[in-house]
Amino acid sequence: MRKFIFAFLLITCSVSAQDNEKYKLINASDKFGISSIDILDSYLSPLVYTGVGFRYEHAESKFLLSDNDRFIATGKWFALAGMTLNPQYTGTMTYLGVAYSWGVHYRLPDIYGFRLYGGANVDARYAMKTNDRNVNNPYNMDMATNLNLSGIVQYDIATRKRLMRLNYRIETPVLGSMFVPENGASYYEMFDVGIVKNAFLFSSLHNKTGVSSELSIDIPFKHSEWTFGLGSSNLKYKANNLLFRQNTVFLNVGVKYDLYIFSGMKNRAPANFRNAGL
Amino acid sequence: MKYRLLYFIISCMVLTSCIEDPEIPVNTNAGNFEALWKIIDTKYCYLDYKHINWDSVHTVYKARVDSGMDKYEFFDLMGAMLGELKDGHVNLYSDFDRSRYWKWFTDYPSNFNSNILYSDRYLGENYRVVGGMRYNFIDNGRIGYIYYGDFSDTFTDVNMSNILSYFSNCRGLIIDVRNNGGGYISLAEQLSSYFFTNDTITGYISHKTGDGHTDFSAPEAVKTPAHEKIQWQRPVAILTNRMSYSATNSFVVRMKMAPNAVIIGDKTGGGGGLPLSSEIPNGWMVRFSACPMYDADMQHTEWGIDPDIKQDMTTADANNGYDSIIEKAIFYLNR
Repeated sequence: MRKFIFAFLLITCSVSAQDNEKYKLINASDKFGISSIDILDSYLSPLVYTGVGFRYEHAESKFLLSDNDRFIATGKWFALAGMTLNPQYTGTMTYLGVAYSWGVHYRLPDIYGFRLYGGANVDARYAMKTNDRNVNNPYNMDMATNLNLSGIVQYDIATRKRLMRLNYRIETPVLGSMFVPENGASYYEMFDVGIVKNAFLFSSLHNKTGVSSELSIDIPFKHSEWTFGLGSSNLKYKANNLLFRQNTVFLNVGVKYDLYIFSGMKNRAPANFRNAGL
Repeated sequence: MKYRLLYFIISCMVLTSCIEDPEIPVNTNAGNFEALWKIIDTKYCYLDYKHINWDSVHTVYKARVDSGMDKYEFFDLMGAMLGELKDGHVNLYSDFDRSRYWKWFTDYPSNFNSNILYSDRYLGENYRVVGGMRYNFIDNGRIGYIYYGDFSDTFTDVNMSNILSYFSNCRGLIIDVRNNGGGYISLAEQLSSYFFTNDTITGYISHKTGDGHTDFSAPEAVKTPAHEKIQWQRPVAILTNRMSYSATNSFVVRMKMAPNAVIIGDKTGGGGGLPLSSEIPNGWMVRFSACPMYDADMQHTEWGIDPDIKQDMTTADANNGYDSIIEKAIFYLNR
């Protein structure tokens, strides 16, 4: 079983592993979670749809440079699948979304034992929303790229048995581009006839705002390190006379590891192997 | 530094509330009436074309809305209001009923008799069927006949290649789309592409760009591509009646421009507006025409397409087991 898990992790991390430098460990995490979802997609309906979803997140972090411990690069895959209902439970909207982000954090000077990181990332997001009752035009896409500002605060809590770590992450989009259908235009017009000239738009704080945050705690056990998180994300954007909103509140459970020492706790990394700690 | 971080977090939260949410009317009969009326007022595409005074409709129907009406009475009233649009693409969906307007075909001759169609003279019992296409030889093998009754039944290039090869020795082909109420408009494009030799502009489409009744985007050309490998270059007759609607209407609009095609039968039922949907606070969904489609001469197609050869089914023919429209097509293709 352990071999199987190790092989799985090798495959999922192979892209990053290929450029893994000699002294830089890749910290990885896999998190699964359940989430409440509120969706307002005024292209599909003026009503707010609410429901639940399942989320998965795979992140990998490592020092960006061999000789500098201040810059940490992080790549993250994210997926969310949800089912929502309108307020009268007469219509359903399904949500399927994936995203990838890559960014760099800079470690700021510690304050009162808090480790602070500030940084930015770029992401690419794609999601499909389907309103099952809409006979002729049931879909709408969320498609966007964003430049996000982000911050991380960490605090270590030492107990008699273990050293636990509190993490708080926050992120907000500041610039980007997004796909928003023209109000009143059908997908047939956009993608069969090919009229999409007004559907790809510049986004910034004037038409898109949001914040996602998560408070989590990492607890090391004998052979693994587990993480438990509570978070939320709120996103609003407006374009082409259409308003979109998506709010989620989620609970995450996951495991953190790095590839080098995963084969066993006895096989610890030598001192010259440096751990980014995110 | 601590304060900067705090400012950053607070500003993120404040910014998310800067974009205002839309106002949603309350879930009462009056609120739902206003929501439904406004959706049509701002999004329906044929109010001016059909000379409908929607403000007047508001006055008339608002006076009839009563908070004491039960859901059935209120649904019927809203269905009647939508009926003023005289549009088969307009429906109100609840969890107990669906309003509809059917006079686009019930006020006209049916021009279709399935008993005759499946008699031995035409399809018979041993017809072949694939991808929703029911096909057989008729007129002693001289003509290939296809009945296609639903543009929701998908077919592939392989299906069509086989069908057209099957009829390769025929003088002509009949595609009967009577009683075909529509489906996927992309299939209308696909089916018509087998009958073009060049990519051809066969129509135009636009959409509402604002709340005003005349706020439309500039019409964009809709091309029917000629299929690269499968092309039927002999005569083809398209049979229509009033129940040829929506995507079928779009198919007929395209086939009007096909080089060897002729439209025979009755005027199509129309349905030239591509529908979108919305919802009102009580959870009912409304479907409505949102994107008007035009023919190659920039004429609306909402009220239907006239055939090249007008032919109704006659009682005398029907009594003798003949379908007058198919017979007319056979005569035309054998000229």
